[in-house]
Amino acid sequence: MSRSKHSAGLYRVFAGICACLLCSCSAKQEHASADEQKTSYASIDGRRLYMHYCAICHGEKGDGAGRYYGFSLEPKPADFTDDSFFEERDSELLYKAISEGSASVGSSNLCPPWGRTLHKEEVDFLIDHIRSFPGSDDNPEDK
Amino acid sequence: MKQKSSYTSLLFAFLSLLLLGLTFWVIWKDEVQLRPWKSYQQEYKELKGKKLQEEYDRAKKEFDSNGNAQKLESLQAKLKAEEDFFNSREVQEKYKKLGGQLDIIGSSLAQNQKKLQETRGRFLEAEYLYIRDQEEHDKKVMQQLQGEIEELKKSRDTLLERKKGIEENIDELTGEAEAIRAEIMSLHKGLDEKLAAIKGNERTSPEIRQIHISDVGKADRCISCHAGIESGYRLSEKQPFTRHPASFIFLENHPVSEYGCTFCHQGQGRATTSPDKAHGWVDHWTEPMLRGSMTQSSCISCHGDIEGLRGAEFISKGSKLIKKYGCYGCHMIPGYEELREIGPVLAEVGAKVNYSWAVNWLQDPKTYYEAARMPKFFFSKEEAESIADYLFSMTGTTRHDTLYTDDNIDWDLAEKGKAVWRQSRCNICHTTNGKGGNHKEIHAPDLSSVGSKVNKEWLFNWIRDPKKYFPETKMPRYRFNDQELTALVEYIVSEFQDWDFEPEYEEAVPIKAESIENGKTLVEKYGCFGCHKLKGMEEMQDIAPQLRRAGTTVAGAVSTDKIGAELSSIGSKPIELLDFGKMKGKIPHERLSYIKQKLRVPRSYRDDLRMPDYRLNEDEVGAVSSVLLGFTDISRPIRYKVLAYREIEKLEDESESHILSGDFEKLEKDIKCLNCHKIGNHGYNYAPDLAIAGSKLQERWVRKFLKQPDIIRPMLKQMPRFNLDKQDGMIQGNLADSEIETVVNFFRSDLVSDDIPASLPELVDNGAVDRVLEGKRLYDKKGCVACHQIGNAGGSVGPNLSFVGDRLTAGFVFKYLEDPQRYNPQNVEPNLGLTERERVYLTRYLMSLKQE
Repeated sequence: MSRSKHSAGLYRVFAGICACLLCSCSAKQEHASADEQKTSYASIDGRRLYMHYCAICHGEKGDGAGRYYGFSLEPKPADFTDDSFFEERDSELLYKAISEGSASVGSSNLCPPWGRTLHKEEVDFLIDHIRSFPGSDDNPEDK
Repeated sequence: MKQKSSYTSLLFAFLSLLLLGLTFWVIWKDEVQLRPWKSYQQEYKELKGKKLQEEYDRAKKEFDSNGNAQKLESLQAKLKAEEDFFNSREVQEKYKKLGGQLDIIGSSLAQNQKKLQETRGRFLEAEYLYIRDQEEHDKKVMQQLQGEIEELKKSRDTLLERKKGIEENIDELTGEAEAIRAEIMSLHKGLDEKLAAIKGNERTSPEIRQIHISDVGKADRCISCHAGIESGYRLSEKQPFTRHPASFIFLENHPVSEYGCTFCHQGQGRATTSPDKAHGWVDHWTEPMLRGSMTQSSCISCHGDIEGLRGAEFISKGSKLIKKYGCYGCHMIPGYEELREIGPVLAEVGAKVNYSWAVNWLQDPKTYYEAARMPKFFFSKEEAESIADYLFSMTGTTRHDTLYTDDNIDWDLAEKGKAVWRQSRCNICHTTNGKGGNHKEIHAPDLSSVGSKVNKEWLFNWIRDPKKYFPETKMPRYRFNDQELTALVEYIVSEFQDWDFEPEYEEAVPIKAESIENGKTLVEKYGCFGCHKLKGMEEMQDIAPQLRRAGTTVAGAVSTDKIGAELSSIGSKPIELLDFGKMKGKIPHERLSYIKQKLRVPRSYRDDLRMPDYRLNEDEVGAVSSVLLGFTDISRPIRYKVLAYREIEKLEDESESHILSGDFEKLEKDIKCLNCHKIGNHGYNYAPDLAIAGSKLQERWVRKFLKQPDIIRPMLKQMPRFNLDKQDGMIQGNLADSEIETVVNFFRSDLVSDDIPASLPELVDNGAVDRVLEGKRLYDKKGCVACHQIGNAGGSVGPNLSFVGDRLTAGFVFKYLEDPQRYNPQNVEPNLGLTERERVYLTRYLMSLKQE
């Protein structure tokens, strides 16, 4: 009699431990919102920088149709929606053109050097951003 | 008995095996499974090793291809010859002999030094005695000692000379070899360093790495897995091996070694056993990790001003949205206490608008215009009518509409009004049919169909003196005469009509008293006074139900709380206190999701909630929640704090900050200069910053410009004309002469900078250089024409420079060219890196561009 009582007690302890273990396994929690936040700073900042410094000439959609450049001048601002523009130019050349001015890569002198105004990484953000133009007609409108 | 013993031993065997198994399992679990950072560090080490090896190989290849290998070989051969020479017996003997001599001289020098010190001591003693007693004897001793000192000095000099001679001899024996060794070292240095880096990387072994910041009680072990977070390399795009994005903003200003990670990102910095635990994505951890733009919400705990803060663009956007929609009208939000209600005063609604329009507007403001800031309250038509009745009852007794049709519009007058409309540049702030509204931060109402909304008399009085109706309005007072005003009003109501508008109350209908009562109750319930000044409800928020942080409502209690929940610590409010109500189980049980859902569908938690729908898009929801999430109980030590501008202004001497004063302040209040211009931290960045206008602009030009603004910028960037004195020549005049004097005086006394030189620096040249011509050459060479216009050619990104010589001071142009962002970080013009000489030339050229 006393022995069975004893084992029943042990049993309860064992069951308790099992329950604890099970609980700890199921302690994982959903965190959907953590994934929602995943938009890289580089892409957001690249867009912001483009809108501030580049869109006035190269256009908000990257098509070279900015509103404020000197219309009578040649050549026109580059069209970034054009695939072939990037086929001929690698990132190194784009980097040089942006940071040292278009004249540094043998083009006209109409795009000034941004290297003293923007940080190296900011220029990289810009390159990534203008590379995203070809094929994307529906860029989100600037809010 | 026997059977029983075998049963026990079987059990025993089983249990011992179990124990053994468990022991291994525990060791495995502890060593491998609970230490994920070990394998991460191993993997990172391999990645880094590969990268370093690549770099070394590239450098080696370059080294070889440059002909350095041959150079090295010849140098080594030369070194060998030198060493052989040095090691030859003859030379060695000589070397040893010289070495011995050097030793002897060394010890003599030491002796000499000791003696010299002693003698100097004795001399000082004698000098002291002589000064005290004035005895001849001491003077003699002094002289004698002085002599000894001179002797010792002489012998020291000869010793030193001999030492130098011997050293030169030794150098002759070894010198060449030393020089060659140094050359070999320098040739090898780059490669050696790279090799050392590889070796160093190989030597590292996995360990827990921790950053401890005692004054905020943080011990972050994140870098145990995120080993490359500070790295200069882009080793991998895979977590946890990425480097921190935009580290030139974030890490440079907040070094990992001083701030750790959870300071900004939250999460459970001490946890090392699993990524989920470390990131705080487990039950009962109240601060889950913040990622991406959401991390910016942490800026708020230290930075006073977030608008314009580099790297805080997302919360800055959120903060602007909070101001735009006036969330602080109903909620107590720290830092927004002193802002005004965003809506217009609702004192004369009945005299201002059509009844039918008001009912439509109350039901859904966006049907009137898409960008309306007023939210949707989901009022039924009946409710909307009650509210409209209540508002109309303030000035009358009827529901009534006034319609303007072809029959009662004077088209000739309207045509005249069009000219006034244009010169007043109303479209800078107001949108009409999708046009204008370039100044995005003013939030002036859309006027596309304002003719179907307001009546002419009210509009006339409004434009004549906006402040009379709405003292805190942003609308400037234009100084039109009555004819001009009548014409303008006629133009507005005729041009901007919704021709589909169907008024219900062209015949006035009396308002019922019970409806008024109903409307008043609704206005009180939904707290319209949060955004609008309402007669008799000025102190209304004080008797709104008290909403404590716990979320319990104490009906009728008097408090100064606002109608909505207080948000000053929403970012650290315990999750148990957030009422998920109907959404429980449908959205993640977590603070950020709660806030976002509240903003998306404000009444989704319970049916009886009152918050209206602002129809924010997902991006705006994120931006506003990122700000709200930043309002926490966390208090950072003072050394981390960056004060807000307004706090600094309070601390500073007032004379140093740009606070408007005197007549200029009166003028500013009237025509609202700071709606577009900025002075210090006041105003907006739409028109040029005036903080240094006194040093930047020529007074003659300022006078002329204010009298009649000319065109230096694109259409909707041009300054409006505030006065139109003569009826016929409508482009006459802007400000009155006395007002122009006020502006000029204020510029001269308050808006000057010592930074700007009165004259250009002198250049050393022989005078043969035509500086203006050189400047013109530079202007062409640098492609300035892409953005600036001179004459007919050029862009309009920057101001027209045709007559810039009349407008700006030479000192300003010179200083500006050095760094265009100096006076306004928002400037687009890049720094061209011009030398001082080039800047002088360019300034000379620009200053030569004058009208006369």
